[in-house]
Amino acid sequence: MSELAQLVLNGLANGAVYALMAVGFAIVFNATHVFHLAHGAVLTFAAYCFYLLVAVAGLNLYLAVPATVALSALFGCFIELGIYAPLRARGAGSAGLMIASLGFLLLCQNIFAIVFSTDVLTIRSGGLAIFELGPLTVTSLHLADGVVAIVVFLALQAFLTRTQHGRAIRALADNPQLAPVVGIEARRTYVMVMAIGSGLASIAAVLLTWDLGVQPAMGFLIVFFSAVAVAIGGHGYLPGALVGAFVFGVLQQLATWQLDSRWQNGVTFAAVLVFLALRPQGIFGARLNVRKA
Amino acid sequence: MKIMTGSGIALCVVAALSTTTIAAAEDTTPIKIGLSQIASGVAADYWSRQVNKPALLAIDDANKNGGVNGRKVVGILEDNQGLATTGAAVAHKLIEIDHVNMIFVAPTPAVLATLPIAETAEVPVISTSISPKVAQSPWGALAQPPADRQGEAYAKFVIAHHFQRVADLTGQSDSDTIASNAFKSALTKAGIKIVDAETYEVNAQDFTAQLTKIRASNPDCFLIQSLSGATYGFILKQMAQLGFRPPTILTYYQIADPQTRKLAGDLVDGVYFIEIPVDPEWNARVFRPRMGYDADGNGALAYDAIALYLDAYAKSGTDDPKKIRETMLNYQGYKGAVGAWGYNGQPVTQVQYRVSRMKPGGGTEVVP
Repeated sequence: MSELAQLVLNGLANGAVYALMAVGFAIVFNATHVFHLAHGAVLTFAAYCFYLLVAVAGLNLYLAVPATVALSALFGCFIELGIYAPLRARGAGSAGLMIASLGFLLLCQNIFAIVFSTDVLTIRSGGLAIFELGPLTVTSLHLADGVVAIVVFLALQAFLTRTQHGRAIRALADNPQLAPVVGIEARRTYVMVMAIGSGLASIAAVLLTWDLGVQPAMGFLIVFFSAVAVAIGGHGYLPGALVGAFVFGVLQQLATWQLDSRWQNGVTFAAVLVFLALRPQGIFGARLNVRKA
Repeated sequence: MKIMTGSGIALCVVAALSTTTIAAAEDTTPIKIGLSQIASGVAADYWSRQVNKPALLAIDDANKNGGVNGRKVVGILEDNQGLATTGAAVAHKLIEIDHVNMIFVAPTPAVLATLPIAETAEVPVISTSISPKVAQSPWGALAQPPADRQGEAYAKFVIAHHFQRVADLTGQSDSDTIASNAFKSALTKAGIKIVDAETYEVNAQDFTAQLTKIRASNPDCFLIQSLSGATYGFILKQMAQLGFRPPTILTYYQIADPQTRKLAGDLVDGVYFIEIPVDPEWNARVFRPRMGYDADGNGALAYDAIALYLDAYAKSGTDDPKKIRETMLNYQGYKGAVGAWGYNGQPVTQVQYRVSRMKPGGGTEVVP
């Protein structure tokens, strides 16, 4: 039984990092309708920024973390202004934008490999401090992952529901045709959304870099996991992405519980497929429909 | 008649010149070695350090010593990305466009895709992959002990140290599976219990699910198989984060890659590994001064695979690939980067593993 509990705990720790990525992915997808695979490139960019600021420039963490968030937000703005906006202006559809996004992810991955090599670059080595809860163990960083994911999410929710900019984002997400009628400028809002989404990815990048280091391909798989988490939670409803990420993280771990671990990905994605076949709108789909209605 | 004679003379001169040109071309045609290896992706930097550069160093050394019977040796490096599809495309390019004399190729998926193409074109393939399938090809030769011998080497260590509860964590690749099966089979025969056997995807970074299960099985010896120092680093870190450290950890020689210690720090201390012994004199004299780092078993075997082939080429005195391969497999008295070795008539190297241990604070030591 303690093995099962440990697997759930591991899954929640992984889910916290997926959650930061998934919420960032979801806010961009909901508002701009771009399947933003380049979100993985933002994560990797942020990880290298954090590495350079801490390991090379010798900045302390209190300065390096906000600097990483700011640089990543700028990088997100660059993606919007340099890639998505020109493509939209030329009439590119969602498929075209998605291909451009994937292309940019792969391009960045190659550039990072050329500039930094494919070795894993690390800020720290060795294990982390662990806490023992009976037969269970959890690291200080994994506890921090969970706390950070929830605090950042609550702050984001407050921003979206209680500020004018936040309400503009929600209005654009709900009805992109009507939003300009009430004075919401879509282009400026898209840039803001990309900055926020990229900022969230950068927090995930900081946590991942502290734990596992940074390497060029680190954003590739996690952006797909984030997209799956958004699908599990339900498109269009931000808390769904958070819950979907934790569910996906736990599911990945539980997939190995009674089965050979070679089936881990197979079982995980089979479970996701069965779930989506039964409930294509995701966990919070019904709630989304009520909101839209 | 006069004109005819003139034409005849001209033709004779042209013919004589052509013959001379062809004879000269035969003497100076370079010997081309195709290197179908990883040059991009997660493993690219390790591969560059311990496969591609050592192989090119062997070519460089052959040229410094006058080439092969006076002919220059050229290395053509192509990136197979470690994949079967790219490996096949690279093989076609090396054979059909570059007309290479031999292909030096790894890892396993790329080798297995290269073999049928090379067999059709009758081009020898030498590999430092550990797939036994390479040795089954009439044109293939393994310059690294095959996976089953690797598995048996792990088992020998476990049996000699009387461990009773053994766990195994293995990458999901053909070669690792063969090694793992040979390991488990030898232990079962010796009456030693395998308390858990788990696998992971080759590029995985999260091993917590597998390690949680292995921790619950409480092994006294834990075999971890990987071809990447970074993977060993992630696994050791995550073991520590789960509060899991069995009395003995046994691994493959990539644990000694500097990447592992960068990630795992002193968690790597005391970990055992099997390795191909590298001749320290060769490393100090040939490798380290020019590369700036030490060769591991892979690096040394990559160097030797090329050097031995070129020596055999020179010794055979022919361009016939079959005869060159035969000479290589029966070469006696070769002394290179891993000491004195040869194929002893078999298409598989006769090099043997030894067991070493990671020393606290850095470096390794051979376990008697």
